[in-house]
Amino acid sequence: MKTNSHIVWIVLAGLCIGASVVFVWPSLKDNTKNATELAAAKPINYKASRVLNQPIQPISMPSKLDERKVALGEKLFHDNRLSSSSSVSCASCHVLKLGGADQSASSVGVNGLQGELNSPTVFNVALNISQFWDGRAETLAGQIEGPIHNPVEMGSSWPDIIQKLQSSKEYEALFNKLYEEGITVESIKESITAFEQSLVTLNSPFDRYLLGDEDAISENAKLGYEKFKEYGCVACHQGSNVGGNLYQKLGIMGDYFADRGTGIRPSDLGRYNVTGLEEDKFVFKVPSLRLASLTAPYFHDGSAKTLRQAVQVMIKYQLGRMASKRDEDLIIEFLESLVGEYKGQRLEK
Amino acid sequence: MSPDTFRKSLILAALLGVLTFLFAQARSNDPKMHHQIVVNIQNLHYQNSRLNESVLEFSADQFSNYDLLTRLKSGIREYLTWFKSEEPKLYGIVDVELDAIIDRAESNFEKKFSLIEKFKSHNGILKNSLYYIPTAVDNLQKQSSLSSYHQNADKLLQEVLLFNSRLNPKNKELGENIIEEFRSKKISRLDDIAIHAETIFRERMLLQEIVEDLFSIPTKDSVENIYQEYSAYNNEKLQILSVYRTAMYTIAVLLLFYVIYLFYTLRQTLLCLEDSLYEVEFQKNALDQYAIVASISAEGIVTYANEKFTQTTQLSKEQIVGKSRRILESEFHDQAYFDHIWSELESGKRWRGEIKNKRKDNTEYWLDATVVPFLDKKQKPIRYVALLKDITEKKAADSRIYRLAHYDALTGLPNRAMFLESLNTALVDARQSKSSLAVLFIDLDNFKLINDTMGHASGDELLNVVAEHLRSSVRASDIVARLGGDEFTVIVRDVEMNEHIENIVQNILSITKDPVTINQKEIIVSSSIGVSVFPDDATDTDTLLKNADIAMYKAKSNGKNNCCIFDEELKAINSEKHALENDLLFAVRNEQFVLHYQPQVDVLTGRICAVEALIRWNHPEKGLIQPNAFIPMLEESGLIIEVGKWVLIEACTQLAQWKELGINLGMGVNVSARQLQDGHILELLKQILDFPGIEPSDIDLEITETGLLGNADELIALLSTFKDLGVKLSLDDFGTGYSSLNYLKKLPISKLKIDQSFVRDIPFDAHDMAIAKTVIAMASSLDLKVVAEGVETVEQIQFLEEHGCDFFQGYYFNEPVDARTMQQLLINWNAEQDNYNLRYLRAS
Repeated sequence: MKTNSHIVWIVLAGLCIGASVVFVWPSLKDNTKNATELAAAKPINYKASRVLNQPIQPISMPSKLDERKVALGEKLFHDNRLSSSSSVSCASCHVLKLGGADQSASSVGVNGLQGELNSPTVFNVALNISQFWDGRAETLAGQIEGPIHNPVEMGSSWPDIIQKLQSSKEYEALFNKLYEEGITVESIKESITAFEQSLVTLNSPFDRYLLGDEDAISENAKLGYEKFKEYGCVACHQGSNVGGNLYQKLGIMGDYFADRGTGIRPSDLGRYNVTGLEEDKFVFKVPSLRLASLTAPYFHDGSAKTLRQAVQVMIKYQLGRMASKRDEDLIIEFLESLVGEYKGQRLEK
Repeated sequence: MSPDTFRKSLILAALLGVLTFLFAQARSNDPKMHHQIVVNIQNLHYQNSRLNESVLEFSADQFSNYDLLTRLKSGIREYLTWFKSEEPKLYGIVDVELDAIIDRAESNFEKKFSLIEKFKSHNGILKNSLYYIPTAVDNLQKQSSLSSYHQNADKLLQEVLLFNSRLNPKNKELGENIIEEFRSKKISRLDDIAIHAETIFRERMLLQEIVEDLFSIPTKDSVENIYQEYSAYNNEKLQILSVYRTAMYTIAVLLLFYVIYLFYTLRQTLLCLEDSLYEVEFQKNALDQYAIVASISAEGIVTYANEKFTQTTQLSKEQIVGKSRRILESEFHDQAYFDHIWSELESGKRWRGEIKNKRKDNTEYWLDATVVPFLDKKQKPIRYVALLKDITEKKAADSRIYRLAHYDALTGLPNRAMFLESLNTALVDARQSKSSLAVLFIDLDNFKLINDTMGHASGDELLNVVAEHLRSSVRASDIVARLGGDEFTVIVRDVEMNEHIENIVQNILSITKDPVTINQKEIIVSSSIGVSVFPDDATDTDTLLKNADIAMYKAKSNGKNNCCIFDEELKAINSEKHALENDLLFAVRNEQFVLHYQPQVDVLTGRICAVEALIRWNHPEKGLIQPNAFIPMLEESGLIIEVGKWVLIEACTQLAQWKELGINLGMGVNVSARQLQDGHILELLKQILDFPGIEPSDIDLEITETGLLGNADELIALLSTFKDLGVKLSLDDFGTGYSSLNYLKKLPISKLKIDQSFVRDIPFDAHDMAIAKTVIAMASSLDLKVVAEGVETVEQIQFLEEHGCDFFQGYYFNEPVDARTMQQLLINWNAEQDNYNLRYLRAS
């Protein structure tokens, strides 16, 4: 009897200690997690700058980013295994060196298939209200689903991708270190999203100007900014991304598609494809102009080959006006001053 | 585990379980999560308000951006998603109502978001036109060709701006009139202005509608609903929580009390245990002091041995503990004995017995062992405890006692008890084998005399020699025993014929007849042997022995150094004797005895100076019987003591009566040797001396010579006491015994009675006359009076008187007569005194 009762007591004590650990441990863990997430953005000197009351705001690096997830996301972004034929990666169409997009009106996917739309830049996408021209993806994670499954883009599926990644010991280790669940759809998406959030173009001449550096941009660019506001461009192209945060109908002041003369394709219907509302026909997400000088061609159909053409089309169809050559030059020079740096390097054509 | 402990553990486990459950339940309402939820609701509320403010700001704003709106929108979405996520649910918020309210809020917010998108689009268009229209009007006014329209253009600009800020329909109406006018002119610059003015009116109206729609969506209520629902839910939880807390407290208190109770009972148990331990220790000490204790495991290994064990066995503890139980065995018993013990013990039985063993120094010892097996529930022994007691001394004492009880200390022969036991066994054997056996009863002749004359030591030595002779004269299978004194018995087994017995008896007689040297003196002893045979003479031990005894007496009476085999004649005598014994017993009880008296006459005076009391048996059938027919029987049966007492009392009572009548005389009373040995006589004598008129000197105790043989010193002491009392003593029948003069000298007697056998033949037998003359002379020299018995003739009187005899007793004077006759005689005698003298003188 003696030993038996001893065992009973030990088991009971063990249960008590176990219960305490189970209940108390998570709360301790939560505290540490919360502490790491608190990080402050670099403060802005509002008195010295002209930031206040400006429709365009400087870009800042988002604060809550896990560097390790960003690194993993970057690796995945450049990994061909995310496509069915293991021939194209995200970076194939979103060339970081080429302004985060490619130079063609529409991109080439797996097996040389041609897409219908012009690939938009991958820079500053986190600042957009939604993704795709028609805004069908509300989040970056949602956006990833598009190119992954699109047969003319990467034409792959999650099971395939996960299987491929699991065959790599490096990925296995990286994922296991960052995610309890290891390689899953969610963890892949989250790391790519983290990487995309880090893709911001910082420290552009215009941002420096806004923050008080008078010599950061030329006088013409300053005049161009004034024209940009004067013409009303800024009514839509505003915010830190100079656009990207609202939807607008293409051809408010004129029938763009009739003048284009190539007929109406499904993709021309824009947001209608998402909402099904009549009023959303030909409505598109207003694109960011941050890297506009680097990402020709322009518009959802890539119809404008040069920035000037794009400026002209916009002023005509959206603003219902005509601009002088000089004004166009000034606006273009202003637009060029919006290009920032990625990893300390100013983005170039 | 005992059921009680199991129950206690179960209760404790149940209480702990309930406590843990309550704790877990209480944890479900985590205050941190509650705070997070409340903060998130507040944030939602705040962001909703900011959203509303921003939208309103845009109506009046010139240049701004939608980044804030975008951030607010994604922020609100994040919060709503968080509320719907698993995170708060993990902490127990499972509330369908709350989920529905959040869903409703989300749908409201989504509606709002889509209106905000619409607002942004249309606001863009409106802003564009508002930016441009002053420039367009300005451009128009720069063209003088169109100056007629300048005023209206200004007016239109004014109406447009007013409408934009005040939303007054009148402004719109006025403005639209001008637009109509401008349109109709078909001038591109006017058209340009008209289009933008129209856009402003249209978009401003639309925007207003959107804003109104937007604000009519009850997002604020939705957030408040969430808060209310959560609050309600939380309150409910808090109430439950308080119940849990109370329950937890109760359980904790119960647990505490239970633990206190357990502690208390534990303490009680501990105290009891301590007491028991002390008691056990005490008892163990006591046991260790008393007994040898050893423990043996079920496997037969010795696990414990106390100090006494090591002391007794002279083995060290190391030599015992841990060794096989074989160490407890000994060579004095065979292996089967121990195998039996162990098998008894293994079957669960207690064993008790004695074990003999040997120490290192070869001393032997006996142990009284009790081995007790301790049994488990299946009745299988789990260990044995051996309690041993050193009984070596007791064993030795037992055997001494046995020897004392069964053997004669002097000769080492079996004693009476052992003889009877052996005879019994021999009889059983004889019955079984249908053989016969003989019992020899041997009595040394004259042993008493040797003992008295040579001393006890010599007597003992003689007995030893005789014992040795007897032992050597029979077969080893025959048993020689000493019954006591000089009586020996022999059991002769397997007797085939009388010749065989005869041989043995002759053998014994011849051996015992050989002279023996004791104390440097040669003694010739003879013996008388009586024989009785089983089954011819008797079939039981007592009768066999008695018959042998009878035969021995017969042999003795036939002359010493003789043998007699029991036969039918002896049997008849024996039965006669038996009948007499019975009759005598009856006579004693019914006082069938009477006393007759015979006078003793003083030689000088001729007066009767004393009488001798003589017993007669007044037999109802046979009449008066003389004492020689029954006295020996009385002596043999021991009845003589009682009868002697009666005689003494009766005689003295009679004397007292006579003295009362004035007759003064002495009373001679015969006293048997057995009466003297009995020891009560002194007391009796003292009582008698208290009788009225009795003087001690009146009593004359007559003791026979043969009665004085035996323990002379003691007798002399006793007789001296009588003399001290003043009682006179006479030696009766003098001359018939051994007549040891040495002895006679020591005796405190005052009178000798010459036996009538010496008187009878006077004056014809010269020998008798010489003896009588010598005795009288000797008595005179020892200063003793002499009484002559059996005086019948004048010649005898003359001879005796001549030689100085003091008193006469006999038929010449008077035969013994009864008390009445004697009394008459006494009265007459004094009157006839002269007549006597005359007769006496005449005779002389």
